[in-house]
Amino acid sequence: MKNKIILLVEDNPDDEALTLRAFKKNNITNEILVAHDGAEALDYLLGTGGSGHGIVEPQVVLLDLKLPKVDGLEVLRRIRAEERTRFLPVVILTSSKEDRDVIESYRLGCNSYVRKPVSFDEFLEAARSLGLYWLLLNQSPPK
Amino acid sequence: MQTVKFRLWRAELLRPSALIFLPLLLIVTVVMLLLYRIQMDAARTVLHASEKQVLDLATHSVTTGLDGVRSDISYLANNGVVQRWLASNEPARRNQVEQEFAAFAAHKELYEQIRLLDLGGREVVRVNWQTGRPLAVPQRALQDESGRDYVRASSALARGEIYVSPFGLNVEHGVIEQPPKPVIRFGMPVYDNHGHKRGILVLNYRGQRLVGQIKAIAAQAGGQLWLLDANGYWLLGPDPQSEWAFMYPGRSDRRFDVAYPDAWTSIQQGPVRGQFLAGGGLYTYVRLAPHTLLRMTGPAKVPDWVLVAHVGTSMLAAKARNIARNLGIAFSVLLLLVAAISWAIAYQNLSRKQAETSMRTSEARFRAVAETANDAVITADRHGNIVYFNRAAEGIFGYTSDEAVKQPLTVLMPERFRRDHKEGLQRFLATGEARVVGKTVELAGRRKDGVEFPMELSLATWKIGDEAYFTGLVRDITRRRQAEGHIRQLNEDMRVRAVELEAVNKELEAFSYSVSHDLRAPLRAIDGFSQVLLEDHAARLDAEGRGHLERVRAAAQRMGLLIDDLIKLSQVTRGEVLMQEVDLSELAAGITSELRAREPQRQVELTIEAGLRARGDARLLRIALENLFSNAWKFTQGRDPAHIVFGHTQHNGLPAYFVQDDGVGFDAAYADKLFGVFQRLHDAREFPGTGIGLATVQRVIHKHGGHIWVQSASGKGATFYFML
Repeated sequence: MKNKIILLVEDNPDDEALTLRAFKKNNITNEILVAHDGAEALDYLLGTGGSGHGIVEPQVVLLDLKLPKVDGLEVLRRIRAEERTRFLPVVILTSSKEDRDVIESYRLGCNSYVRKPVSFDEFLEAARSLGLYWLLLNQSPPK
Repeated sequence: MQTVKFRLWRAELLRPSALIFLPLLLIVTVVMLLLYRIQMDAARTVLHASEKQVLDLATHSVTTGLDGVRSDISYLANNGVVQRWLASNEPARRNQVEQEFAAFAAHKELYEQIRLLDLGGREVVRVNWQTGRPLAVPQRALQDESGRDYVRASSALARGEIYVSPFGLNVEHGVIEQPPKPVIRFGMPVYDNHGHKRGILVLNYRGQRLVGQIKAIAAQAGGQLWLLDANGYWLLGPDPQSEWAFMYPGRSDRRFDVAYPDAWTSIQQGPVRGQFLAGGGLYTYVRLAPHTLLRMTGPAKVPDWVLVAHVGTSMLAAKARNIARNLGIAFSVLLLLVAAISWAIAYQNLSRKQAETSMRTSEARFRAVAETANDAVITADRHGNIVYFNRAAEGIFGYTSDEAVKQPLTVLMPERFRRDHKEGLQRFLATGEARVVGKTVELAGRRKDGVEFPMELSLATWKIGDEAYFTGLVRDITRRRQAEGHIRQLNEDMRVRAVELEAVNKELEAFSYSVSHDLRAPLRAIDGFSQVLLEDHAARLDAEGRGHLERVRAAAQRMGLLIDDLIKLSQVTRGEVLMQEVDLSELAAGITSELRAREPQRQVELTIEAGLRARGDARLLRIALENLFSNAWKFTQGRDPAHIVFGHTQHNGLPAYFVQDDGVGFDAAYADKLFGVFQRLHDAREFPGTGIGLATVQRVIHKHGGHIWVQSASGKGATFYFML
């Protein structure tokens, strides 16, 4: 379980801090890589761009929709378009509850859609469920 | 133009044609009567003349005959052979006389007997005409005729005188010879060379010859020609039985004077010859005196004969009938002709009158329509000159009818159209190609004051004979143009507004998206980091400080709920309504089971009427029912058990659905405020909420064109009714 990486795509430093805290609080000690915009996320996953760090193969991607440079839906589309990352579990983690966002995300092939609650207590609960499910219960496709 | 159909027979023609026919009939009748009279007169004149002519012919024939007899008897009496025999008295001489008489008889063929008698009345020489040849009677067969009238009378005559017997039938040995032989005896004394009377010469004249001549004349003339003796007996009469009646016993009443007494009297008392009309017909007569005819002087010894040409009444009537019939036929033909002419004249008159009436009617109708029309009606001739200008045209163009008539149509047009108009008119008249005729076009007109205005023109053309006319209906469409302009402006405004609204909507959408996404992130940070403070730095905070942080967190979370509800409200407002059949009962059951799952400890008795269905947008109706049920759930908090009912009732004949609870209710005075945004009637600590739910419900109902209202009282629960 240790070698299973989580890729968190989050531009808001507050949310980033709270998310990381929520995982820590829930004793999820896996390596969490943070991409601060869509371009960086694609760089991690597909090796596009010249940030220098190598391509990672995370256990799950937690993807915000509203992102600088390349937005979340575009990132999702390109993940699904790439043969290597076609089956990569992607969980949308966002503030929006708009129907069109939910529908568009599922249409592009997200695996889950989770709305960030305002209450940190609820957020903790969400983080716990996510970690439990995606890192322990869920069986990833074979590499 | 209206065509009038003519029929040959029409009852209304009777009177006018009779008015023409009757005077003509009168004239024709008078002319015919005159003609009849003239023809009758002419016929009568001709008849009279021809009767006279016939009579003259017959008279001439008789005269000639008797004159011949006179010269014959004189010749024989003074004949040399007779004189020589008288002088010698030799028997041979007597034979010569006999031969002379026989030759004479054969030559003349006029005499039945030629006889020489002595003064004693004894026959001396006698030659009979028998079976077509003369025959001398032998001496021993000669008779003594001394007792006979004619012998006595002839013997008594002086030299040169002639005896004429009455016309009678020959009697042989006391019997009337058959067939009857009419005969007249002529006698003359015979003197010898010494001047001594020696005997008498007697000629039996064949009356048949005379009668035959008269008959022939009568037959040729075609009328009746009668010969009468002085006593009125017919010698030649209407039929053989009536002739010679005096010779037969018992026939004495068969006489002309008995049959036609008036005519007989007229003949007896009138001149020698005459003509008259009397009972029985037309009579033309002449009294013939044989005495005179034989050129004898002295007193007449022989009674007159009367020659009568008679035309009977029936024949006169037949002639009149004939004329009448001919005239009658002519009259009938003329009558038919006159009737036909009368009918034709009446027909012509009626046709003309009807055509005129029809024309006047259609003209009156046209004027009535044209004068009351709101549109200008203008008629122009083939030269484009105005011939009619109605009242509306005066109003529209500003010219009076008197001013406009005879003006060219071009005065009603702006300069720039005039050339096209003239060319169009020429083209139409030359080729019949119509670009405007029969259509409705929009053009510009020009008023008398020079002001232009938009107009609509419908142009028609028609012909009277070879003359083409144009009638235009012109409507001033200034107002319509203005209205059209106005409508275009309004449409444009609306389009702009729609675009604006679209932009506003987009903006609103972006706004609410931004609200839902961006406003929540800071709230999450506020709540999250407040928690971090409480957990990581609790030691540096006293109880009051920690209490404040809890308030910060509660406020942040409440704002999160507010934002969610506002987003929901705006979604309801913006979204389209997709109408479909919705099972409200099932929807209610689903919602309430969610509520029950969220607070399983609550004792709530739910009653949901089954089978409530309505047409509406399922998503929106779910939002509405969710709000109503969660309100009912919330405000029955503390009731044990609580009662919530979903059902339907009738309101103004239409179904109204309701959600009823037995919760805290509210003061009915605030019922109208209930559906406003952020309106709350209860303490937030007791009944938490954003005050947006019922506003959302009302919007959903209104979006369906429905209606929502509430009944409640403090502490008595509440019932929300809605209709879709």
